[in-house]
Amino acid sequence: MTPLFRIRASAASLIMTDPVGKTPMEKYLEAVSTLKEKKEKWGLVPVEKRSQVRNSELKASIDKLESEIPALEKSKETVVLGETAKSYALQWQRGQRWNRTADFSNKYTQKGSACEEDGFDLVATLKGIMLYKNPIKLENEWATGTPDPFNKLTGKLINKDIKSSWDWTTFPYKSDKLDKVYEWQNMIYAWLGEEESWTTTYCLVNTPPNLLRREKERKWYDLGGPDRNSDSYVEACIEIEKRGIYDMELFLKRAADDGEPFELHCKDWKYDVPANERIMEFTTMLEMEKIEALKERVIQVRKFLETQ
Amino acid sequence: MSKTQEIAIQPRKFVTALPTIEDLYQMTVPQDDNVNALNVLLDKPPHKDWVKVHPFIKKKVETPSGPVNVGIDYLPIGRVEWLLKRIFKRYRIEVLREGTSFNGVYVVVRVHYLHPILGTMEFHDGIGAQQLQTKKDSSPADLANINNGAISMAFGIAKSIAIKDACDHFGRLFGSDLNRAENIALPDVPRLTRDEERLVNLINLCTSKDQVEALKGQVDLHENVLPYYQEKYDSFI
Repeated sequence: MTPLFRIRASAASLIMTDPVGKTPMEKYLEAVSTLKEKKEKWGLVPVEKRSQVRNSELKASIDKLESEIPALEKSKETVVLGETAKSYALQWQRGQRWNRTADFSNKYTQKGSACEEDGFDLVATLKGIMLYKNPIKLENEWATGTPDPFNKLTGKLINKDIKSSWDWTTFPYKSDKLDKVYEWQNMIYAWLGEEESWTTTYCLVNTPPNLLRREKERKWYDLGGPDRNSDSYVEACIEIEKRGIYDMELFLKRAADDGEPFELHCKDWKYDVPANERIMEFTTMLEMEKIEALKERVIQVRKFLETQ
Repeated sequence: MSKTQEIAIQPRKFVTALPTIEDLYQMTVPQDDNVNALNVLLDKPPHKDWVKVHPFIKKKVETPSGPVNVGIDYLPIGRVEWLLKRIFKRYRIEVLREGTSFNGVYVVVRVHYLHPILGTMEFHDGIGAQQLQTKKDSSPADLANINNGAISMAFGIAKSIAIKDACDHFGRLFGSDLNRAENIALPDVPRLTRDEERLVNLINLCTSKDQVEALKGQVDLHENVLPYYQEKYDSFI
């Protein structure tokens, strides 16, 4: 039997996306308001002029609205989920029924999971706090989530979520707004973790050697398989290294730990970025009105799934 | 045609005697087997006068008064080449590959030698690597601070190491057993987990005794980190 739908913190923004166009309630209210306006207008038309073509059209539109409004009133409470929410909900349902999980893996998510501990290292160094990977899954009857770090000593979660940017171009600026996906994620973590706020901490850490090797291979194919010593290929590889490496000493250490040689194309490395410039934080405050809206939307998704 | 060339071109044809299971259990060698006789020769330990002690690379050895750090034993490249000449008469070093890896260079060699019993040219491969020397107090990764002549020096050393690595395959006579794990007590420094590395980093960042003490609770969760904690703590006393 399929379990009751609960939203994952990382997917909350998907179901909170409003549908395109007007909701049934909006359509109903709009029809009622238009009818009122037209009736007022009709009341001002002298009786002797009501048979004129222009005024008879007004009367016809009033009649039409009056006939449509009962149906709109009946359906005004109907839930209409956005296509994104429906699609997510259906995939969740099928995954549960068939006991399968979806693969959302790409180079960005691969770096994210491979570099989680590097992000912890960076935060620990800069904030002077010890972090451990959290094994505790938080959940209630509406939502689930597993925030990143926790304090092993106290057994308490640390209200931060660590994200690794792919490279310097995707690393946010202070003036940026936090992505909706992460804002909802923070909101749910704060709610489940009984905190007033939760912080997304972006870290710009080295890309793992295996991913950089793959980038270089991809570039080699893109360039049409040139001589590996050709200037164009070597220059492209240096650019890949500059986009992926921000602390060369640490990169070399991790590469050595991997046990597989990594060919450095840049022989004159001077591109390290100071650790304190490679961290960016955005805090989300818990807003219970939004949580209530989320609960409402979870109920709507459950109703939708019952009909599938 | 010299005798050596004749041997090389027309290898002697004979089948080596298989050992019995008893030979293996007793670790004895059939007396009539020349190939094994060579193996026996190559399995002898090197003369103690040939073995040198490395001035920088250390190993930990157990002594009655406790473990002490001593330089590792090694055979100098000159001695290895002398042995090649004396035992095999004919040998050749072929450089298969060379290149850079991280902040160093590596060389892969193939040591060809004339098998004195079979009369065929055989070979062993070996690899050697050497870090590029950088200026004092600069990071090994800081390629801008490479010393003059570091590359030519590193390649020469890497090649010597590669030759010795290839010759290790001959047996103990060439020094293959000099620093084997069963002969020495490996340093008992445990490999740290990522959590432990993180904690050690935090400890190293501490600038006061109070800061170090604040981490004591975390250190209690990681026995391996205790020596680092203690060292840092002591530095403030």
